[in-house]
Amino acid sequence: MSWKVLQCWGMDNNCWNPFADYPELKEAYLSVVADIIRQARKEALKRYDAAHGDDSWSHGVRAFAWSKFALTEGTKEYPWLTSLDAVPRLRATFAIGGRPFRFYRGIPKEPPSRYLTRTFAEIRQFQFVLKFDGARSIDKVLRIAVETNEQGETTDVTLVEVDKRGRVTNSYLIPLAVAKTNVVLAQAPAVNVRPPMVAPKKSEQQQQKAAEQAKKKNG
Amino acid sequence: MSTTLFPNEAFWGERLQIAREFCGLTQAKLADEVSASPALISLCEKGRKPFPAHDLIQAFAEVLGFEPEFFYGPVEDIFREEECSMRHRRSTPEILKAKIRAHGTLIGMVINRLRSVLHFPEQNIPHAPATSIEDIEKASEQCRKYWELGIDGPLNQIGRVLENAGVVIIPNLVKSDVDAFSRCGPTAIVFLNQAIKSTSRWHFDIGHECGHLVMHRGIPTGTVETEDAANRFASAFLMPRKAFGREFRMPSFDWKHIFALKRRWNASAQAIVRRGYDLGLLSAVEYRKAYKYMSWKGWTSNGEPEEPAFQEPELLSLALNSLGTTVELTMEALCKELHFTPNTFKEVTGFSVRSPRSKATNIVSFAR
Repeated sequence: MSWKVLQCWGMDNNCWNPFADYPELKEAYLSVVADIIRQARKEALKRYDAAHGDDSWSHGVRAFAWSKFALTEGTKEYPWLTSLDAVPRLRATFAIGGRPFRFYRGIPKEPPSRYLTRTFAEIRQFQFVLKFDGARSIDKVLRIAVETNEQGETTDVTLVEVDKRGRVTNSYLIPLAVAKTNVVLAQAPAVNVRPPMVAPKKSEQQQQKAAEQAKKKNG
Repeated sequence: MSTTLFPNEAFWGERLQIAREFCGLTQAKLADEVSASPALISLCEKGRKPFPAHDLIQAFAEVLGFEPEFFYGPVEDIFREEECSMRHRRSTPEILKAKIRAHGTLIGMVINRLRSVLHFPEQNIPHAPATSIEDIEKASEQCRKYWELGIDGPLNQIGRVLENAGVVIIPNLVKSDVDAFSRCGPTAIVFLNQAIKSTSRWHFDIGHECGHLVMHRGIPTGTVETEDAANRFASAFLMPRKAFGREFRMPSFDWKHIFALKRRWNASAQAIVRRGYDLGLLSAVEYRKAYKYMSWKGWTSNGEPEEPAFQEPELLSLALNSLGTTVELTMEALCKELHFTPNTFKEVTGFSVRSPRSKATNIVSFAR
């Protein structure tokens, strides 16, 4: 099934364009976040060692912790990605362009109840920041659902919109990787202005001397 | 015996007025300080008392911080009210404005003397009267082209643009009531308020005064119209519409983008947001929200984060630093010729002169 078809499987069979409702989200941003999570889970999976007692629980804990850590590291690289927690918390909350989200492993249709409650960081972000930034107030929360197969490999990463009652109202399958464009905005370089100059004036004697020297040179 | 100081020379009332205004004194206050009547001070200033008593002139000199000789001889270039543009609050008292104009006249004396020994950049300011928004935008673009700055990129050193055009920039205003002051005349000057800690605001103030110099030559300024026009000119000069418009566009309002623009264009976030609104790139609602946010953050009153690096005006300091090195005239001799006391010289120029008393005359170098 192509991702375009998947994109349209929404709860009410609607094709949801999250960028219309949340202009601060961008396809490229979501794609980066999905890749970070996917990569972190892949690395965690490499460390899975059943011979030493790893099971699905220990793998799940490690994968979540590593994903959280990778996203926190990502905030240093991407100015649009921020961690909303002043101190590291188990219920990690991040934001894309100021719009908060949390992530979980599971199917998009049925987010676990513990991931539906709004964290303090989310509430604060809505009340104090988004209003001032002029963002549209939407009484819904965003979650990122990470689906895996039986081997623990990440299959799909989906953006999910959940209303106050915990019902998934919209979802958007995040494309695997948005091709990086090499088109950049043409920017003229800044103008560097030369420093001003003051030069001493020549005295009459100096001027005479210069004139005599010039005469001699000219023969 | 004559009771006047220089019996063959007439006392110059305008000089007394300049010195008094520079000290921020009223006629009544000066009269009180020198134990004379305000009427006498007024007569002296109007030139109706060409030979005041010796002790009165000495008293003027003592109170006002000049040598008695200062009060003799004509002033070549007085900064008149109609030539000056001041960026100030409406409540700014007249005495403060007079003090700034007097300061300008005194610095003009210093520059005139420096011009006799040094080549300053020639005054080269285009004249482009403009009142409509379109004309102001065009005037700013003409200026950029005239000074070969192009209309596509930010200016890294806006102060140098004016200094290369023969305008002396002086960071000497200390009162917070006046942001900037400019004068277009034989000596073109821009005073900036060094109490303002924001470099981006300095840049805008230079652009604003540049607007007055270009558009309002010979026109009385200080009205809402002329100030708005100068603000628009500063915006357009710092952020030309086409290039800035291309870079400003964003899908939704984003402070990170505004600060990226601030770093590139060396203008305040406030000026960037306003420019976006003026060019129709931001709606009125977005502009008001952004302004409210800046106000809430304290950026409008306490300064903004991520300020560009400070750029010290260079022309006057270059000239004064060359005294005694590349030219024979020393700073002490300049101060003496102008009949300023060392303290007054420092107040006028911001440069210290060694007091004649502090000179060590009894030090003899060891023979080799």
